[in-house]
Amino acid sequence: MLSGIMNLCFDVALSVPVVIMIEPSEDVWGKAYGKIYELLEILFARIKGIFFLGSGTPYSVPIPREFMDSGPMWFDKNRDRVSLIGPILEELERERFRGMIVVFCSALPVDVEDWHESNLLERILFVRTAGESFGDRYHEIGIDAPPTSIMNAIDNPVKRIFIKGKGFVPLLCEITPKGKMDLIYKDGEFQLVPPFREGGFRCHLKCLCEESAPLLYVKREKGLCEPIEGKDEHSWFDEPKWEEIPQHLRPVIEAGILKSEFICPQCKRSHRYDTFICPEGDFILRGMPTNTCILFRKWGYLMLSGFYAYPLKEGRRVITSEGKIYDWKGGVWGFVDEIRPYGEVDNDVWGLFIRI
Amino acid sequence: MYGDYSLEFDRTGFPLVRRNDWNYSISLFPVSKYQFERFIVEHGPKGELYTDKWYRENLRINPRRPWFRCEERQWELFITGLGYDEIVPFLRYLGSGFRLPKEKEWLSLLEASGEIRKIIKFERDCPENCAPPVSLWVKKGLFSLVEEGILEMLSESDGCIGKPYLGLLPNTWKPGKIKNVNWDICRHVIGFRVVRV
Repeated sequence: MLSGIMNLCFDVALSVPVVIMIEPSEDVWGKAYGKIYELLEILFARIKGIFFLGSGTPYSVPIPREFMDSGPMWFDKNRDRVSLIGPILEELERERFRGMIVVFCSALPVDVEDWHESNLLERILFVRTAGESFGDRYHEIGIDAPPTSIMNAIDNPVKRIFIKGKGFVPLLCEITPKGKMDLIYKDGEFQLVPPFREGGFRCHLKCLCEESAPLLYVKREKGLCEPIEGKDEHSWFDEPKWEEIPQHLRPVIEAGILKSEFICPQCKRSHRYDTFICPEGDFILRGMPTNTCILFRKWGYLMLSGFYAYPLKEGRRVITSEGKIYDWKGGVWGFVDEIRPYGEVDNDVWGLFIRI
Repeated sequence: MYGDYSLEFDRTGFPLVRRNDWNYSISLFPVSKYQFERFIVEHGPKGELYTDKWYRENLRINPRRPWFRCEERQWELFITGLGYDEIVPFLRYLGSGFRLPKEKEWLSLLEASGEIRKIIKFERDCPENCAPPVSLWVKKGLFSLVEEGILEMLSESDGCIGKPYLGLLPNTWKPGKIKNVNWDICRHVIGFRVVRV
């Protein structure tokens, strides 16, 4: 049984945060100080913090000048520390840091091999200040490389982004900047795919789900898939409004529900219930929406064009705006059928999809 | 509780074991490099001690091994070659009541080690505050390394106790017997464990 309808808001920033680490030796500091400042001038809004290897203390750089002024003092406090990266990476892991890491060093940190089986390693760029290559296992670049090359080396573009969860079905969704989310159904589950790969966006979502809320996942070229939680919110969307069926069309609709014949309001002759275009040429249900699924109940109709899906049978069934019906069975959403003309989809609720 | 034994964890997330009738806890493993590095990070360099140069020099006599590769050359997981003056700040960092074990305390662990190996398992309740290597090493049965491991320093004794792995130092030594070894030759084999009273 699905737990019900949730209202969530996702605020997503797709820029990649960066952490800088510095081997606290005189030699590295002398070579890296200016280079880091150049890098900060390009990256500073994305810098999460600066660390010295062997210390868990992060230094924040709200503006690059902060590094220029305070950097030498920070270095003095950390001078000659053992080049240990583990304690910093452990902290970043605890914080679920998903960004990139730039390490300025002359030699590999002594404990780097502890991270050989971690996905973090592929998100580390070593900027080597001296000596020979660190080997194929590591992403590295020489200190002489221009800052733009370092920037390119830490690029980590988004490959896929989607919302999913157990029993998840999106009902309504609004995204800023304006765009259209794609709804994908595969292997018994729904995924909602935002149209953006960079920048950021906000998404208000009304959805069905089971127990836990769906998550928004960001899969980048490097690293694991990052799950982002949405915040609960009051419904962003107005309650769906059932419109009144125009008086002159009620006999037509009623005949549809009863699967009988009706007197055409256009030609005044009798037609079968599933006749939508009068042989004389006119659309019989003129005034009703077309090319979207419509639900009917006693003298009211609901147009589903603004919906991804609409819940029926207390959330155990959904119907999409395309008129596809899915039932929740055995822990998955199973496709049942396409809506048939005036097919009953719930108790005293019927559906129709007119393609013109 | 594990039968007559209980575990407590030091600030690095490594376990000390205590039997009901002991008035001290003794570490389940010799002090590891992973553990000592936590101290180095918090303590920072002091003069020439605990600097990058100092540590890399130390690693030359007994190279470092990633903690998850614990199926061979296990001695590389543990810190060796430290003088007593280099160990004392580490003991202080762990907190009050920490010191090197006395011979009798170490021998009690040796006597109990078979029982401890049978009884201590983390499969059902790996404690939250335990460091990542601990659960793996316990799972692999890599404790308490008193019957075979490294040589260990003692308090109130100039000698060392234990039996080094054969791959580290070919020997037929009895683990519970104190040995007076040549420091300059054997320092790469000599580590320590801690006791908390």
